[in-house]
This record gives sequence, C-alpha cells and structure tokens, in this order.
Amino acid sequence: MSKHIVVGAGPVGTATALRPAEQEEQVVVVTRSGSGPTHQGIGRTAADASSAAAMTELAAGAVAIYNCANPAYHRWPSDWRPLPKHCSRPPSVRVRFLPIAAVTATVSHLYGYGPVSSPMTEDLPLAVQGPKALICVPMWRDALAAHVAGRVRVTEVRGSDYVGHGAQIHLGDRVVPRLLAGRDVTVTRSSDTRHTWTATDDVARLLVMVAVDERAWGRPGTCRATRHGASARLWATCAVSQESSQ
Amino acid sequence: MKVKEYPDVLIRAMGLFKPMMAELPEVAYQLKEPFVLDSLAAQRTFAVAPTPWDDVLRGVIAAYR
Repeated sequence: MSKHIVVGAGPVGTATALRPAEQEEQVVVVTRSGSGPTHQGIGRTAADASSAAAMTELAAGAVAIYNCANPAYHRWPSDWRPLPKHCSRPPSVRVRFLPIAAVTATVSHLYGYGPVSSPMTEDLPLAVQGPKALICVPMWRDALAAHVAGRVRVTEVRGSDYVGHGAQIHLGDRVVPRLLAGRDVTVTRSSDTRHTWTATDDVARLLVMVAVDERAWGRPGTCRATRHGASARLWATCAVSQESSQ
Repeated sequence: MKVKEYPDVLIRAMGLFKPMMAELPEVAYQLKEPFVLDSLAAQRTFAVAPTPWDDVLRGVIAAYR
C-alpha cells in the first residue's frame, strides 16, 4: 500500500484524494484547517504546507505529493508562492544523498502562456505576461531545473477553467440554479467565444496518473536528450472544448 | 431565458468592492478571445479522454438538484 499526500481540499484536491483512496491506498490530505473528504482511506491533517519541516514529516515514505492548493484569486502573490516552493522540493532535496522520495505533481493553469492565437499545448513557450504568470512560471522553471539536476522529480498538469461539482468560478452558483429555474443568467465572458473547460474529475484523474507514470517525469539526466524532454513532464489536462454558456 | 454578459465597465466597478473581481481585467483576453487547450498529447500518451461535455454538465446539474 503506497502513501499519497494531497495538499488542498478544494474540488480538485478532493477528487484527487478519493482516487488512490478508492484503490485502498493510504492518503493524507493536508490543509490549514484540517478539512477534506471523509473516507476510511483518507487521513486529514491540519498543517502549514509551506513549512518544510511539516511537509518533511508528512511526506516520509510517500510516493507522491499532489499539489492541489489554489489560493483565492486576489491572494496568489502572497499565498501561492511559498506553498509550491517547498512542495516542489520534497524533503530529500536538502540532503543530497538520500534517495529522492515522492514525485511532486502540481496542478497548474494556462496563465503562463499569455494571449495566443492557436490552441495551447505542452510545447508552447511560457510567455510571461501579468502578475499571475510571474508567480507561477518561475515556480515551474525552478522545479524543472531541480528535476534536471536530479534533485527532485516533478510533473505538472495544466487545465483551463474548472467545471464540476464544487467548482464555483464561472459555471457555478451564479449560473446553474438560475438556469434550472428558467431564469436569465449573466456571465463574465463573451458567451459565444470558443472556450475550453476542464472537468475537475479529469484533472484529478490525469494528476494521479502522471505522478506514478515514469513517462510523465522521466529520469533525471535523460530528459535533456529527449527531444521534447522539458515538455514531457507537464501535461495539458484532458479538456472539453465547447462554445461556452450554450 | 437569455445569457447576458457583464459589461466591462461594471466588472471594473465591481473590482473596487470585491478583490476577486479586480483580478478580471488582467485575464480579460481569456474571456474575450478564443481560449482553447489542446490535450491530445496527454490523451494519446496516457490513453485517456476527456469526460464528454454532456456528462460533465449532467454531473453539475445533478449536484445542484
């Protein structure tokens, strides 16, 4: 039975935690408040995931750390940076000769690509634009550099706006109950523009898959020889492309 | 039953009171231009497919009923 650490208990963290738990694996969900899904295979722990000491203790013996933390939109600069900084450097990174422990699989997004004129893929350069990209692009580059140096094993999954149970931002409380009641709805986007949505269950499924699949993170040292080495360790989430709000 | 859009000026005004809304102008391009993700590489490599859109919406609706 393997041990999995899930940071965050929002819709994606919850869906992620349930997957290994239902395979009878051991799961520990880490949040500041100790919240998380109720399941016999899931332990819920209140801890500060930006604390290297706390994560070192929690992640001992784990095969994977799933970083599903997603701070409030307007608090990214203050809340997001400290968290993955430690998560992307699991305990062993500070002690060079210990075997590298868990693979860190991070849930990320598409802000780093900026405005583009074609569909977004893993091969697209990260054109830093705006404060949100400035937060997350360096985090991925740092993690990738540490991976290439053989200090950690990382992978990242990037999705678009979420849709699914508990995903509130666009297709949630402000829209669905009104539609069900047959009332008009108002959306924050152009209602007839092509837009990809990512199902929360799909991002959880892919995240768990890439964390334990060597093709997703490769062996340190060999990835530079691979043509698409750098991009081979991040994956676009299975996405649903749809005319929005139809 | 109609789908309407918040005008830009209203979103900017709401940002004065709600910090979350103040973040929207930075990502306006995601809302106004086509914003499309191609996940074929992941689908092929890991032999997975996205949940069909109708099933996703059925799940969302079920959660609200």
